[in-house]
Amino acid sequence: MKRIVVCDDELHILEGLRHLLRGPDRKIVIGHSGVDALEQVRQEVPDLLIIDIMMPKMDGIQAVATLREQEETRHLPIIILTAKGHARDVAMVQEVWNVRVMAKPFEPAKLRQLVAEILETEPCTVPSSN
Amino acid sequence: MHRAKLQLIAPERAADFASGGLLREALENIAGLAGAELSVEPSGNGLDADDPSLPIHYRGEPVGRVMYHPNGGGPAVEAAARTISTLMEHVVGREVAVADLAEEMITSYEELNMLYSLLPSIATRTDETEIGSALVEQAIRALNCRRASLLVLDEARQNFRVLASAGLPNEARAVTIPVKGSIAEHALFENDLLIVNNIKDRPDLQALSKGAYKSFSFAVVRVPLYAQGQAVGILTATDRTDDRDFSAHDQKLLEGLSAMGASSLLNCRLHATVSRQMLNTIKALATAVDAKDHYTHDHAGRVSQLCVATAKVLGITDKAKLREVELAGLLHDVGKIGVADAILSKRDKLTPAEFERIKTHSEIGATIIGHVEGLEGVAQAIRHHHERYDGLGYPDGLQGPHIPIASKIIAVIDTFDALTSDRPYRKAIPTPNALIELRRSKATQLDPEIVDAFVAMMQANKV
Repeated sequence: MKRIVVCDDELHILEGLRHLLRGPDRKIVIGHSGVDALEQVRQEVPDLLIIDIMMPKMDGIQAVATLREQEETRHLPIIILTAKGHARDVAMVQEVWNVRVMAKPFEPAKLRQLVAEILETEPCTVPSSN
Repeated sequence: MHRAKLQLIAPERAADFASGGLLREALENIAGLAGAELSVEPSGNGLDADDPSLPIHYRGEPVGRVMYHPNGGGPAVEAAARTISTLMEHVVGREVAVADLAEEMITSYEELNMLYSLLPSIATRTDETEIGSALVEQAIRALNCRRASLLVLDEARQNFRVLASAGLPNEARAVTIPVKGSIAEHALFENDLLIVNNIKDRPDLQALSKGAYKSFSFAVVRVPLYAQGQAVGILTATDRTDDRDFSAHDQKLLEGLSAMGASSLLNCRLHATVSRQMLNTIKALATAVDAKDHYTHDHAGRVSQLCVATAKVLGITDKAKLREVELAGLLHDVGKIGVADAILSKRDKLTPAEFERIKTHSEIGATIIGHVEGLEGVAQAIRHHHERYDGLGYPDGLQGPHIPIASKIIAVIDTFDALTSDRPYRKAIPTPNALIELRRSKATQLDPEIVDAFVAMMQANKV
């Protein structure tokens, strides 16, 4: 069972994503801010985090920064959703933190495919010690 | 004493919703007040199949249930079960509504993105076929169809030709379809949009149905191209991949596509017309010069063609650059208009003063053409077509790499054409000899790379 955490302060995006990404082998957990994101991930590290940039209480960038500093979540697959205006700032972030970026309004088919690729090919978030 | 048990078996999303948070708390409180425990199950384990249950309905159909084991709790437990089932019916109703809205939103996002990606890609194109291809590809995607084509009327407005198509076999593209008696005619002259989901609904069209329209559903939309509302094309989509009918929503999409296509195609045609008119005007000008300098009949045309061919052999593919070479080739001698006839057609050797007059034709030509917006590159090419590779040319004494490539190409071909044409003071020399002469001028008068390319081209084609 794959666990996906989705964080956005806009309800319609949350429901849209929940609907778009549903599947029998997936559990989708939602949050409304960077704080929620960190809390959900702390409870159980998911297979994928999809997170918006502009959120109250704590924005997506801060949340991602925190997660990337921690060993357990350094390799957590993350997709950042950004309204088109912020694309340039986020492109910078993309390289440094190894996250994927998708502009809003996202292309449903592309996002679905990206999620499928991530869930299928990427291993569990904590790299096993070899 | 056993506590009575209430078990909620809810449909998937509703179960998720009821398994945590405020709703769960509320449900548990209701159960607790009746002295019962509550569990939420997506399936039916744990309670006896004989236990009574209340259904949860959606649109009159049972989609879940509340089972209860009274165990002495009696009517209170049943009342709690009833309350819970009513509450869950509301929840299920809302969940389905949310799912529907989410689905709508996703579809809208898909269409938005389609428009976002289509607009820039066709707005800047100047090639009709490319625009047509982009449109039919989008039509297929947007309408979930296997086939789409863009038909345009020919000049006489009697036949359609296929400007672009997707999903059709290659032979179908070369087809001309007479307007009269075709289904497309209906869309062109009668309706803006023709949607037929089952050809059997339209017996009047059944007789006309042939070839691409043989499938059971099709949509045809008119692509208007003129401001006067005169239509010049049809965008059609047929043969859905899903089981759905075409809807008003699809109609809107097609209309959007056709509006985009219309403005781009119109732009394209205007661009082509202006381009053609410009070229014709320039050819007229070049012909005028040729007529004046009468021993070089059609020299300009020949030079221009050979210049373009040589440019391609040199690996130049940029359309704008090739255009520049073509026009410069046509116009390189336009400055001769400023040189006296007597000097141009003199049979004897020119005096130094006369020679200086002739040399001015490069600058005069550049000045004339320099007045035309958009031809600055051509003007420069004309100005320098008598420069020499070794820097001893005129008017500016530019050297090798500093000479515009179009000028260097013209220099080679101009020399060749002069050698192979009759002059007042000598006859034309044969091509092979002329090529040898060109080789002798490598790196002095002419650019060696261009000479090699030209010579190779002439020998290969035996032109």
